[in-house]
Amino acid sequence: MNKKSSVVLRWQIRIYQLSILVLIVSGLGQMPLFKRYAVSDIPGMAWTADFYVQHVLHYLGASVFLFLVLQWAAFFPRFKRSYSLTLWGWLRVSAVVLIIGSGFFRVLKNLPSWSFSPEATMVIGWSHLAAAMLFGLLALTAKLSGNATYLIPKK
Amino acid sequence: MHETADKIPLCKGAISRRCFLQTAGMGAAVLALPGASSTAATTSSQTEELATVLDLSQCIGCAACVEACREVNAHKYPEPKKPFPAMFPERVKVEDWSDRRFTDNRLTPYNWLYIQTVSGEYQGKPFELHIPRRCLHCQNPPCANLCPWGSALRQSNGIVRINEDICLGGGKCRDVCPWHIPQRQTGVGLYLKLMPRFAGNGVMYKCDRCYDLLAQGGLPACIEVCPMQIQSIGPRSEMLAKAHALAEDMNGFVYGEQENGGTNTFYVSPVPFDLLDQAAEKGPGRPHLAPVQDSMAKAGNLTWAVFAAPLAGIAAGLLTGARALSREDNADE
Repeated sequence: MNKKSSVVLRWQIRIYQLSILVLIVSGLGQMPLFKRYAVSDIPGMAWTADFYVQHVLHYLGASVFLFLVLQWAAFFPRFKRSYSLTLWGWLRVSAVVLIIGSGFFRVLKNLPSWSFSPEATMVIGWSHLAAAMLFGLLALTAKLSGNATYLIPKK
Repeated sequence: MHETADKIPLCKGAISRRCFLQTAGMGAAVLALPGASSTAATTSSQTEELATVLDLSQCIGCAACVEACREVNAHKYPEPKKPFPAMFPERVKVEDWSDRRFTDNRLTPYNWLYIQTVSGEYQGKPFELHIPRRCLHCQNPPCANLCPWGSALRQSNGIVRINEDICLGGGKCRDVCPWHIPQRQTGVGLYLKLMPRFAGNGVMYKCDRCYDLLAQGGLPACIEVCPMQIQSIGPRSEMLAKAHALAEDMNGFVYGEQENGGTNTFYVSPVPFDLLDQAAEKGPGRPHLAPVQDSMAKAGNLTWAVFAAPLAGIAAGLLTGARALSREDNADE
C-alpha cells in the first residue's frame, strides 16, 4: 500500500503477515501431514502433530486476522476518494472474503448446537481449503509479478 | 400431543419399539415438510438428540448385537483394491483388515461393535460384566469438528458418522477421539483417485448408529436384536433420566453423561467404571472406560474471540476513521 505510514500502520501490517503465517501453518496442521512427513519428529516441533494445539492456534490466528481485515475494511471508505484498489488488490480481497465466509460456517459447524447435512459439511470444508489456496496463489503471483500493491492514489 | 415442525411428539417413559417407530415416523414426516429439509442447518432446540441407555447388569454377552451389526451394515463394508499403492514415505503403514473380516474381539473396519468382557471383584463379590463397545456419539464430537475434509459429521439427531464417499483415511478422527474408535481400511475411497502415494490412506469406519435404518423409521440393529433388551433409544433427556433411575435402582454408576463434555450413550453399571477400566483389556480397537475431559473445551472458549474479532475490528476502523476526519477538520480550521 502507498503511504503505509498514514493509511495502514506498519506494525499492523507485520501483525497481519504474522497472523497469515500462523494460519498457514495451523491450516496445514489441520491435515495429518506433519506427522506423516516427520516434521513433528524434529526436536521442538512435536506440537505440529497435536491437532488440538493446531486448532487453537488457527482460532487465535483467525481472530487477529479478522480484527485487522475488518478494521481496514471499515477504515477504507475514508480513503475511497483519494485511493482505489488495484486489480490484484480486488482479486486478493475477493479471496479473503471467500475465506472469511467459508470460515464463518466452519466455526458455526463446530458448535454443538449446529448440524449440517453431509453435502453442506463437505462444501464448507472444501470451500475453505480452496479459498485459502486461491488466496495463497494470488498473493504469490502478485508478489512475483510486482503487483503486490493493494491501493494506488487516484489521478 | 401436537404435531408441529418444531416439536416432534415423543414417547414418555420407557421407549417401546412401537412407540419409537411412531416417533421416528413422525420425525421423518416433519423433515419432509417444506422448509424443514434435512439439508438445512437445525438447532438443538428444534430436534432433540437421540441417545441410548445400556443396562450392563442385563447383558449376557451373547454377541447377537455384534452379529446383527455386521449383517445390517455389511453393504457399507470396504472392498479394497489390491495391491495397495506404495506409500510415501515408507513409514506410513497400510492397515488391512480385509483378510480378517471376522475378527470380533475388537473394533475394526468390519466390526463396529464388540463385547468387552470385564471381570474382577467389587465389595468382596466377584463380577463379570459384558460391555457392548462402539462409538459413543459425542454431543460435541472432536472427530467431526476437527475433520479437515468435511467427511466426519454430526447430524441434528446426534448421530456422528463418517461420509465414506469422501473420507481420505488420514486417521485424524481416530487420533482426536478420546476412545480412538474409528478404524482404517487401506485401499478404498477417494484417496485412490487423488494422490494415493502422498496423501490419505483409505477410509475410516465406525458405528453410524444405523442412520439409514433410523431415517426409515427403524431401529439400530443392535437394539432391535438384543434378546435381553438391555438397550433403549430415545430423546437424550429421557434416556438420561432413565439411566439415572436405573443407576439408582441398582445403586450403580453412569458412564457417558459427562465424558468428553457429554455423549449420547449412557452405560449403567453396578460396578464403578474406574474399576471396570482397570480390569478391561485395552489397546488398539479396545477402548478404555476412564473419565474423559471435554476435548473441545479450549476451542469452544475461543469461539467467542473468533466471532468478536471482526466486530471489534469494525469498531476500531470506524473510530480510527472518525479521528482522522476530526484531525483533518482541525487542520483546515
